[in-house]
Amino acid sequence: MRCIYCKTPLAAIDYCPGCGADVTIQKRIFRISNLLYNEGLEKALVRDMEGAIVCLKRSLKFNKENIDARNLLGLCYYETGEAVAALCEWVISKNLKSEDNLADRYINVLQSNKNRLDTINQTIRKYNQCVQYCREDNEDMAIIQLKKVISQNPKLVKAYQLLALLYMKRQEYERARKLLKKAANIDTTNTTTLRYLQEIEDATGRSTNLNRHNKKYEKDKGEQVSGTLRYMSGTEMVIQPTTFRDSSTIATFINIVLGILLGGAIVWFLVVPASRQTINDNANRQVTDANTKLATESARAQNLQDEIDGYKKQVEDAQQERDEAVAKAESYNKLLDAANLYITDGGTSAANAVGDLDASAYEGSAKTLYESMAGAVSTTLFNQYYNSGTTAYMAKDYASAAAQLKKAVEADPERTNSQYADALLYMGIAYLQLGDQSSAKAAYEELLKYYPEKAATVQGYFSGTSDISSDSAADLSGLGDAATGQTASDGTTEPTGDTDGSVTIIDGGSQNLPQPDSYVAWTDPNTGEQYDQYGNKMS
Amino acid sequence: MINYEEELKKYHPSMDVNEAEDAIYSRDLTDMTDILKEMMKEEKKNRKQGNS
Repeated sequence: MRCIYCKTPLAAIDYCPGCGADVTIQKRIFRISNLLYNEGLEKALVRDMEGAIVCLKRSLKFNKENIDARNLLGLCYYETGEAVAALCEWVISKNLKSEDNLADRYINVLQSNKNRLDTINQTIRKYNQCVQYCREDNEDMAIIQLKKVISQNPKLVKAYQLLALLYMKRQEYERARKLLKKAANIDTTNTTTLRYLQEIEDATGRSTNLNRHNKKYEKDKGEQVSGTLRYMSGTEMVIQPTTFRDSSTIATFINIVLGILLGGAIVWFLVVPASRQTINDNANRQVTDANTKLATESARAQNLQDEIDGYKKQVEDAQQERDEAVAKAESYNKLLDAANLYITDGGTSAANAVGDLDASAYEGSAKTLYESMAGAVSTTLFNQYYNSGTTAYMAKDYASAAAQLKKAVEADPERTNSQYADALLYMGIAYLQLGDQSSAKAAYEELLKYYPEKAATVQGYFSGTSDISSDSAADLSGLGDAATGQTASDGTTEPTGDTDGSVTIIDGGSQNLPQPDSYVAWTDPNTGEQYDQYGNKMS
Repeated sequence: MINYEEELKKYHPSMDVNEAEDAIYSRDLTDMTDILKEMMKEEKKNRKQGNS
């Protein structure tokens, strides 16, 4: 500190050692300036830039040569994005004290990066233009320009505030809040910023949390405080750690062991379960895939099996059709052979051939041919079957007799043969002998239907009960008179000819009925031998 | 409630590099010591006039 009158360095006394002037007021002014500088420094340390600038300006009002205050004022300007104002303060500071001045370094740093200075200058011009836009109500352009300004000069607090003001006018409060929070990070207690935030809080009803970033700074500060302790020892700065760390061998060993245990625990509790889970997931996925594939293959096999079964059925159907076709062809061949025999021979052989044919095997023209040939050889066939049946009957082969006589009856549907009634009678008796009473009844009913004059013959052995005994004896008594229409019985029943066609077989009739005398019931057409009504050969 | 128009009036154009030189030269750097010196000069002047 020098005397303001003679520039003599002042001592501790209140008078100038050079000119003897009273410097009490001067020293008091300088102390006030220093006090304001200290206050500004404290505010700058907590990033209260606006407050710091106010204090430093007042400090410079008391003492314009307070170089520290002026340099700090330039720093505060620079920190709030007003680099030109900062440059002005530093230039003045350098002019006031050309040597050993931090301002010299600041100016060099700022001027060394020409692009940086140009960019800052451009952002200031754009900001000025934005202010003009706002005054001309050209807010859209102002917002666009301000966004560019903020991107190029992110410390320009006024740009944040102006853009936030524009957003608030548009009631886009959240955007404004975001910008103001950034501005508050640069200048924590800026009055304008806090006022705008209060306005947003009133409008939205939600307060703005600014503690996060403050905590960050406090944390950094705390780390600085707790990490190292700095103090000046004479002209040297001593940096001393604030905590004591034990670095003995045992402590190192313990730390290594604890680290290993901690690592092992992390691996065991975090890595291993995760790996196990991954392996289990892979295994489950593989099992699921395998099951899906198995189900697909099973369905495919089932489909193939169904297809095979279908083909087998088709083969069986084809074979059956082939067999039926072969049988049909064979039957048609037989029909053709029979026709050939009928044309060439026309006798018994043709009748035999036609008789061997199965009428149900033919359709259409073949059936017509069969019926024509059957009609033509019916007499021959009737005689043939009749003779065979009666021969079998006499031989007591009732089954063959019934079958042959049935064929004979079927061979003469028009009942043209004179022995047709006998055929029916013998067939019925043969059925009786076989115990097939229903067939016998049918035969007799047909006999009575077409030959009512035979009723006496039949009724001679049967009466009007409905039961037919299985062991009923066939009795052909009166058969010999049947041809003449006279009964062979004792006259209890008369051939009325108006019978209703029903036949009832008398249980045990052969035992109870009178036995007529023997007569020639049948003559073998081949041998000429004669048989009675009981099938006995007559001498 | 903030009045946008009134608030906008508080924003002034910032100083760019080209204006820095003029701003430095035109800066009023008068401080309390200058005023004190001026007052002391006045005081001396008054004393001399009083003695004469």
